[in-house]
Amino acid sequence: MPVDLADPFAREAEETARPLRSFLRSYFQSPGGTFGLILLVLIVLSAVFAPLLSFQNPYDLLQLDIMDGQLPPGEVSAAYGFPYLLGTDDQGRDMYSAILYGLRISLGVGIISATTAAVIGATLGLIAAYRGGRVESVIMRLVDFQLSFPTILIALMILAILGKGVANVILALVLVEWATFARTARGVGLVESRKEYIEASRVLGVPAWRIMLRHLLPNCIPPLIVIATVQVARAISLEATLSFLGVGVPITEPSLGLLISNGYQYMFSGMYWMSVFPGLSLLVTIVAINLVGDRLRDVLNPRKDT
Amino acid sequence: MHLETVHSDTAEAVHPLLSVRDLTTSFRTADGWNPVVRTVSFDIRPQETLAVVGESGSGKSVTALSIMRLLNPRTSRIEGEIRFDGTALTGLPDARMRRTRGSEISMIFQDASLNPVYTVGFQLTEVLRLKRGMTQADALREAVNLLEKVRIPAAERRLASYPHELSGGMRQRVAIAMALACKPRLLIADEPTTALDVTIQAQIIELIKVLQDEERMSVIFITHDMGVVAEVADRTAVMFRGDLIETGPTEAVFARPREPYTKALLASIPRLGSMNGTDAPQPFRLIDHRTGEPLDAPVAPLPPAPADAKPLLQVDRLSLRFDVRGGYFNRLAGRVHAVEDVSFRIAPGETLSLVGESGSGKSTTARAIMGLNRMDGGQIRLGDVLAAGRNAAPRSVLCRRQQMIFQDPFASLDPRFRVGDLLAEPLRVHLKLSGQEIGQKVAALLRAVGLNPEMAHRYPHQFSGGQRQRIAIARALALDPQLVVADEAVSALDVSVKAQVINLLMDIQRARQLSYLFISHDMAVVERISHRVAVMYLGRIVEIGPRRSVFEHPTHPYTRQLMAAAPVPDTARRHLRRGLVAEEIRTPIRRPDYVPAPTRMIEVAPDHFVLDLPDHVPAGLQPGAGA
Amino acid sequence: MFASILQRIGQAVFVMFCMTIVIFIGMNLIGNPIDLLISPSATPAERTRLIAEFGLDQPIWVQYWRFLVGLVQLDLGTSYIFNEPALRVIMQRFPATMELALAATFLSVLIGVPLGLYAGLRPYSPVSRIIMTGSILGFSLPTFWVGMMLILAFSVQLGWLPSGGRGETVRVLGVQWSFLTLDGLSHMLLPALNLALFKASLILRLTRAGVAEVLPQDYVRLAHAKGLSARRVVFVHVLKNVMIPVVTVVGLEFGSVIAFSVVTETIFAWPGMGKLIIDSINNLDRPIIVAYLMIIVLLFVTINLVVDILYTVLDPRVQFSKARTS
Repeated sequence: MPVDLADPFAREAEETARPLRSFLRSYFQSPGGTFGLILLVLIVLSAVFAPLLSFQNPYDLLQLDIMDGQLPPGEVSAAYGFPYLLGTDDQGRDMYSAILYGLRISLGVGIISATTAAVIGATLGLIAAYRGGRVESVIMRLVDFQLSFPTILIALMILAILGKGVANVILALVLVEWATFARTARGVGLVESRKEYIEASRVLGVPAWRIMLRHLLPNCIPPLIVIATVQVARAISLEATLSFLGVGVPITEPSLGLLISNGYQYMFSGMYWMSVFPGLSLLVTIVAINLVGDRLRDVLNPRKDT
Repeated sequence: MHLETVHSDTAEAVHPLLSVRDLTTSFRTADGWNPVVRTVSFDIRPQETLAVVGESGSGKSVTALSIMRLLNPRTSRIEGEIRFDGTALTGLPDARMRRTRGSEISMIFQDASLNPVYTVGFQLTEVLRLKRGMTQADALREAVNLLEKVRIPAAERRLASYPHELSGGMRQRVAIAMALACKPRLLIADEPTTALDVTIQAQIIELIKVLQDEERMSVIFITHDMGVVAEVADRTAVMFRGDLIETGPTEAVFARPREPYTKALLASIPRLGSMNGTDAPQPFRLIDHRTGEPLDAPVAPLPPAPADAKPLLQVDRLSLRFDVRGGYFNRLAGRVHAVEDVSFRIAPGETLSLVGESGSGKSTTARAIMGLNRMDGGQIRLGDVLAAGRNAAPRSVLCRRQQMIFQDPFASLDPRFRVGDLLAEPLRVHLKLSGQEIGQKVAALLRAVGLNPEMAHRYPHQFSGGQRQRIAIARALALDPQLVVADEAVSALDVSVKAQVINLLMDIQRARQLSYLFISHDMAVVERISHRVAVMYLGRIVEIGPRRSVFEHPTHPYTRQLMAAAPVPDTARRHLRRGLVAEEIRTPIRRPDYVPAPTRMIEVAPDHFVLDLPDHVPAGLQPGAGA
Repeated sequence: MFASILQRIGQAVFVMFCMTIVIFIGMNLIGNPIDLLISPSATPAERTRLIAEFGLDQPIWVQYWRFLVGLVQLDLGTSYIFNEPALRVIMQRFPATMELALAATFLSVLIGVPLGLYAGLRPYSPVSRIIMTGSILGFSLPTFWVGMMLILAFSVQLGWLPSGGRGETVRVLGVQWSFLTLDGLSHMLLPALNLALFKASLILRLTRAGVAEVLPQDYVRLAHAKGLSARRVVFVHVLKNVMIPVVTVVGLEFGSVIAFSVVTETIFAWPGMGKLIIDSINNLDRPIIVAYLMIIVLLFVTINLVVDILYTVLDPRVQFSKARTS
């Protein structure tokens, strides 16, 4: 019996690689990625614990003091005694608290819409890849059709029809984004399902559902995670844009975009803080997510760019 | 110690054209400079051919790129001395080196080395204009001359072609024409025929040999194929893991290898014709590459297949076509007759090989048998059940009788499964076994393919190609099948590992009385492993019979062509000239209204049949074809 | 070739037709048009008359047919706000948007391609790292926020450039253009830059990725082995391969530039179609919305068609579908 001893290419007993550990190790090799992840964790935590971290509930009109309106950063609340770290808006709302609460809406809308779109899109894309034939051509026609129109235009159309509201914005974002996931999932799924390990499983009599769930899906996940990360950032940015244009979330639930929009008119009179601080928060959030996404792309699928 | 031999070799009076001394090339890695070529020294004399031979990772290509200084200077470092005609290339300024490239030393690569977005004419005249200062009109005329020199038919029309419009062999001819444009004194050919079919490979090798005589240039021929080495090289340099371990005249290296690795390498090469006079498959006698001693006791040939047993697999009149659509409204433009009226049977314990070049339909046949392709006609029986088609037995029955080994050991194992789980999956799905029983079976399977059962908890990426193919074999054996279809199962492996895996397959057959359907393009491997052989061409079997009869008395013209083209590691064949042909492999694409002629087989020897159809003869061999 | 172009034109017409259905249904979902069109103080008799006049008493498919007929006759209704044919209102603003979009596309190529080439050819240099980090920013920053910051910096703080409007225009071929006067150019610079930034990052990354993909190819190695100069290898052998996808994307993204001009025009008070559509959405000016959507769809379908054809011309490999028969 030949033993692999004589194989000139046999690897010397390599220590067993732990996939998760080696993934984390290579992730943290990049300072940019590490920085982005830390930043993102801090942002998510502050959004989640916004009520604990803020001085007032910015939506509770009873807590607002109109006399404190348009105060620059650093002024102290006459009625409650806490400092307005980032100033106040025209109604005397503490910008710092409003930003924390706005972050919740922005992040929430972004994450919910991107995950929903990911689940719908990836499912359809993988089905298209595995089944092929007419199912595939129907799904992919729809995807092509959708992707030939820019996101903002579709979102504008949907919101023009449905009107403002957080739920409507999420719906619009899902409708805009599912196609990206479907296209990616189908592309990756096609590459993977043509690989011989899928055929080997078929030949071994492994049931189709098991092949899809245990073999195909896990191998398609990494690029989908990368896309999902980037899409969360895009969703947040798009939501902010729509709200800025006045067709997004309603005034009662202001996201960062709406805060920026509200402060915009005061910018020319020198009251920069109402617009600039929510803008900076939005910026930092999006950049953090994109830094993480960029790093994930390098670590998870080093051969694919852009 | 091998350095001395190098010096004694070059101490002759002839002044070397290229002289490499203590070449060390390192690549930058995270842990610093990692040498991939270590203190390599050799010489090439004018008009001499040196073959640099080695398996993957031996550093043979890096050596060539170092000579040309084509490695990225940021990520690589070249030490030592390379002298071309007395000038040290290593210290040359970039501009001087650029002048040397192309005009003094030219290079050709494996494949796809032409720029896809420019025409052949543009790429050829570019060199002529920029390196030889020709006008566009002169360059065009010279380009036609060059294409004619590499024997491209209708050369003038080819100038307007884009690379993708040419076949692989034609592209390689264009690349050679480009390399010859400035009449170089040294041609470096880096695996120039590896991506090509055997008959095309033979043409290209022949062409390089003829052009070398015509142009009076030296050639460095980089290859992994000892057969090619024997056919082209005056001298041979063997590389292993970055070291040049042995060099000398080709005859001497083949007849009296000094290093254990060279001995092991030569022992693992199947030699076409070495089985003449025998009937049964015969495992290789392998040699350990570290000691040079035989690996195991001499192995007996396999028993012959039972002559009168009921066939295990019975393929009757199998045909399979693919539509080719194009033109207005996606009309049917033609059909690929991938498999046309193919019939054969395999007895229990027997190995039948399907051999042929790309497009012959051999893999399509195998996949149809495994139910991975639909079929358009015919019947496939496995024992008492139908194996494919509409009324086929359920997969859960079939998968316990027939299994498959795939070509690419890097793609056929799910990278996210541990080896143990890969082997356990079919057991879990089909057999009601306890966890402990499954564990024992997995361990037994790993042992059966020569792997350590403790490797079960590793992932596929932690294994070499040969080890992975062993795992794939173990997985195919998990459900204890009667038939194993091996689709080019050893083609992707390095020579020395290939021989081991072939031996393993034969051992398993001996122990389990398996039948194999062995798909391969390699005549020499087929000769080793088969009881019977079927040669496929353009979707049909053109010759089928006992291996001995087919190999000793090849009757169909295509079989003969295939055998003549196969490179044989026999230095006596070096001065053999096959004549210059530029023939393409024909494709089985036909017009939609094509009606295949009925199959007519002639029995030329007992159980040895040959197809009698005039349109299934290679173009150059057809009656009335020129030359 | 000709057949596939015909086929694509057919597909484009089909897409247009589908969009008319989508838009028609969508528009009928926005509130009850009767409430919008007829004042609440109208008498019931007047009401019935008006309903009949607008054809709102007809079955939905008859209404759709009338909509289609109007479409073919280039009649998309009259704007409630401007009291002018909707198409004319939009066409008046069309040149401004086109001018801005063209300028932005030009800028994005001007910025993206050279920087992408540099970053691709020298991936490890510090400059490339800065370029790539910059492209993440350009990718991440919402357009409206960048626009605001541009205004804050160059108009409010520095006072160098105007913050809104088209400035002085010149009439050429019956159309007003800003880029022909110095004042117009100064008005155009900020919005064009704003609009270009995102696309420039996209083109930059695409170019860099293309270079990274092409450089290790054997044909680049062969070009070096032929002894060509490094400049010729890059600008002849690498660049054309890299530019094929870039040109395609630039073409496809032109439509998206027009769409995103909605944001830029709003911020910079640029009197184009984008600003008009936002105003119309807020004013529920239905005919304008419908006309805008139809024009945009037509524009997109045309752009996709042209890019498709262009791609076939550029890349010799695309035509490879023709089969050889023996």
